[in-house]
Order: sequence, then structure tokens, then C-alpha cells
Amino acid sequence: MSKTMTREASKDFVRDAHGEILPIIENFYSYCAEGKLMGIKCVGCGEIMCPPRAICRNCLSDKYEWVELKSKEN
Amino acid sequence: MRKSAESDIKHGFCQVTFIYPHSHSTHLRIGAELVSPIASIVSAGISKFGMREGLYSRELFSEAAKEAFDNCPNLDPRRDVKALFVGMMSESYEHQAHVAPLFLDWIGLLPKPAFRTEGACASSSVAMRTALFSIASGAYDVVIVGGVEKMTHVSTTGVTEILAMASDFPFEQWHGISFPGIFGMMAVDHMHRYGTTEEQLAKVAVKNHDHGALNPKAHFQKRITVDEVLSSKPVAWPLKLYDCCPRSDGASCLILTSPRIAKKFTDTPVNIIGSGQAQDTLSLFERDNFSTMKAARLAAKQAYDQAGITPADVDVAEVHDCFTIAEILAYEELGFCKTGDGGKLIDEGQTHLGGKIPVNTSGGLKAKGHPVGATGTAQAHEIYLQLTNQAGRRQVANAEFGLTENVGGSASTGVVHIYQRGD
Repeated sequence: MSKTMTREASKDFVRDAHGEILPIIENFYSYCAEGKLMGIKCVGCGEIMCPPRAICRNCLSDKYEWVELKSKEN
Repeated sequence: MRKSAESDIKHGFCQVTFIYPHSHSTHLRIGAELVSPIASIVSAGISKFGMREGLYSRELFSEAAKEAFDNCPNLDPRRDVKALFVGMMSESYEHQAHVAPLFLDWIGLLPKPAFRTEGACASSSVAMRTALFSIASGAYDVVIVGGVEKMTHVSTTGVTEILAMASDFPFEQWHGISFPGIFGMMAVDHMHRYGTTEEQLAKVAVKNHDHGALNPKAHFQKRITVDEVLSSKPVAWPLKLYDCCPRSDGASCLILTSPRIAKKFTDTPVNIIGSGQAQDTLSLFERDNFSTMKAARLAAKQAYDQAGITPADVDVAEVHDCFTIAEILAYEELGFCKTGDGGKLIDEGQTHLGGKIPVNTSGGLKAKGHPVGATGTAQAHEIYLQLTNQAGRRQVANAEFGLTENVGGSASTGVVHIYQRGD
């Protein structure tokens, strides 16, 4: 599986169809390479984590979506 | 089985009553032992083992921990879990030390205390024993214990060199030997003394691949034949490529509780009723016999005595088959057969699923994979599945007693645990 493919697959969730975790840290840096600062938003409780992690530090859920973090002026 | 640990604990933590079952023995007494059952496993989790490209060990550990949390709905990890114990062999793979707080943070349990142990390939079995002591002392009633290693992003040469750090630097590493050579010498000695054959070694690999084919979390899920093993590339004669376990990525963990409260979390706990550990010289050449793993034998004796069972009572076992010869030696040291008869036992098929004592139903280190730090708790994970009827196609019918044997280095560390279903 190429890195681009795993990134695409992990756009919404950090696990693939078999329940295996996708490369969260690598994907974070590949977004950085595109000039995007991305965090992970917990679908359960809305906690935003940057740098991202695999389990929500607030509610222990593992369902996320990637969100771009922007400054308020934009 | 002896009465529960709680009744022997007097006033809170630190005051544990130890018993000395070896007072009749001529052995040096290797430490005090705790009363049985020591603790209960109420849940377990394991990541997929194999080449997990692009992942860090913290992500693998999260995968295993999340599975253990999800498998135990009555557990509120942030409220109930009091501490983390984690086994990891080397900082060198990821240039990352101080992993105990890191993994704790990644599984959402800050600011609980976290401990890391290192015992080479037995790192997480040593973590397990540390966790058992913490429960028996009364310090903690619920803990998470696990192990992890991320290896496959490092080359085979690099991995071999990192692993070789678990052998003696001035007396082994300096002279160019690494673990395939060390276990190769053990195999040569066993062949010379007892007539063990290369075919018998090969049969261990074939059996474990048969079992691995039934385990969806295993690194290799493909059957192999004796001929394929015998014609595979030599690594350190008589060990060939298929006599050696792979380097793997993976993590595993268990939720342990005091036996008194286990039923609060599950109707089907698994009790840890025996735990033993012993050490041997770091270098192989300092031992008088290369065909024994004394640390494993002494650890097993402690564990059997504590559990009050004999080898014949064991229904299913996970043993340390880093190389095929290590499994043959384990049969003998654990008392599954007489010394020297390990080769015959595999010939008879008694350790295959359906045999008298199925060994390595998970596929063992050989097929399930050997992310070294994860192996100890991964063995316990398999026994937990077996004793709670969750092992699917590789289930051993009516298994009541299970055993794990995990060694570090050339068996300089030996750890044995014995389990009983607790429902």
C-alpha cells in the first residue's frame, strides 16, 4: 500500500476496513509537506488533537476525521 | 490451589505474605512466591502482527489497548485502570526511550503511573510479573500490562545487531556471534546428544505455520511443508530460514485485576495461578550443557508448584519458538516429555492441534510473528482466548489449564505463567 493510498483511506477514519490502524503520524507529516497543519477531530466528543493520536484523549473513542487548523484571521 | 492472595495481605500495600514451596528442595531458592491465584485477566487485546508499514510503536500499542478496552464494556479505563506496565526491548528501533509515559498518554490514561521493563524477548512477561506483584501487594487492583516492538522498518542486519545486544558484549558480540548462531549451537548439541534430526526441527515450523493459518492476527497465515523448510536457505546450520521466526511489528496487552473483583468486569475471567522466573548466565558458553534452558525449567517448577498442577494437567501452551530448536527444548524443560525426547514428541504429533498437548496454537513466534517486546503478553493473550472459548478455528476443546513460556536472549531470562479458566 503506497503512502498516498493510506492517506486517502484515512481521511475520515484512522482505521481501515479490517480495524487496523493507519499511519497517523506519517499522514500528519505528509499533510505538513503540502503546507497544511492538520489535526484530528473526535467524532464522539469533538475534541481536536494536534499532533494527532490514535485514541481520543478525552473520551477514548477511535473514530475521527482530519480537520485543517487555520488561524482566526483567515 | 491455595487460598486467595487477599486473605494473606495484612494491612494495605507493602505487606505481602510470601510462601516458600521449595524449602524441601536442594535448589538455591530463587525468590519468594506469591499465593495463588495471583491475579485475573478480564480482557485482552492484540494488534495485527506483521509488517505494519508507516506505523510507530505507539500506534500499534493503541490498537491493542483499544481492543482490550472495547472487549470489556464493564471497564471504564480512565476510572478503573490504576497503572500501566509495558515491556519493550530496545530504544534503537525508533530512537525512542521513555516509552512508558508515551504509551500511557496515547491510550488516554494520563496521569497514571507507568512502568517499562526490559528482559530482551521476555520483556512483557517480566512486565506481567511486575504487574502481578503490584496487584498482590495491594498497591493496585486493576492494571493494564502489555508489550510492543516496531522492527520491520529496520533491515535484517540492523535488527540482528539490535537483538544481539541481548547477548554478552565482550564475550559474545565481539566475536561476531548473534542469536541464530547461538541457537544453532544449541541445536547441534541436541542433535549430537539425543539424535534429534533436522526433519524434527522442520516439523516444529510446519506445525506452527499450520496453526498460524488459523489466526487472522498472525504475521504468516500460510502453510509450509517439511521439504520447503529443509530446502530453505541456511542461516546458521542446522537452522535454515524457515527454522527462524521473522522480525515483526505488533503489540499486545491484558487487563489484570485482583481475583476478588474480576467478576465485576467479566463473567469469564482467566486466573493466573502460577508465576515463575529464573535467570541464567548471559552468555551460552558459560553453561555446562547447551541442550538445556535451566532458567525456563526453574521458572516452570516455581509456576507448577504454585499452581498445584503437573505438566500432564496442561491443556494448551504457548512456548518461545524463536528458533525451532527452542520449542523442542521447551517441551523438555516444561515436562511435556523426558529430556532428550522433544524430537519424538513432535514426530508423534502430540503438540499439534488435536494432539495431547497443543503447543503454539496462535502460530507461535514462528508464524504469528515475534515483535520481541510484545511476545510475552501475546502468548498470554492466546491462552486467554483459549480458556474463554474465543479462539475460533484453533480452539482447543474444554481447555481448563494453560501455560506460557517466554525466554529472553539464550534463555538468560525464563518466565513461565500458568492460567486456569475462572468462570
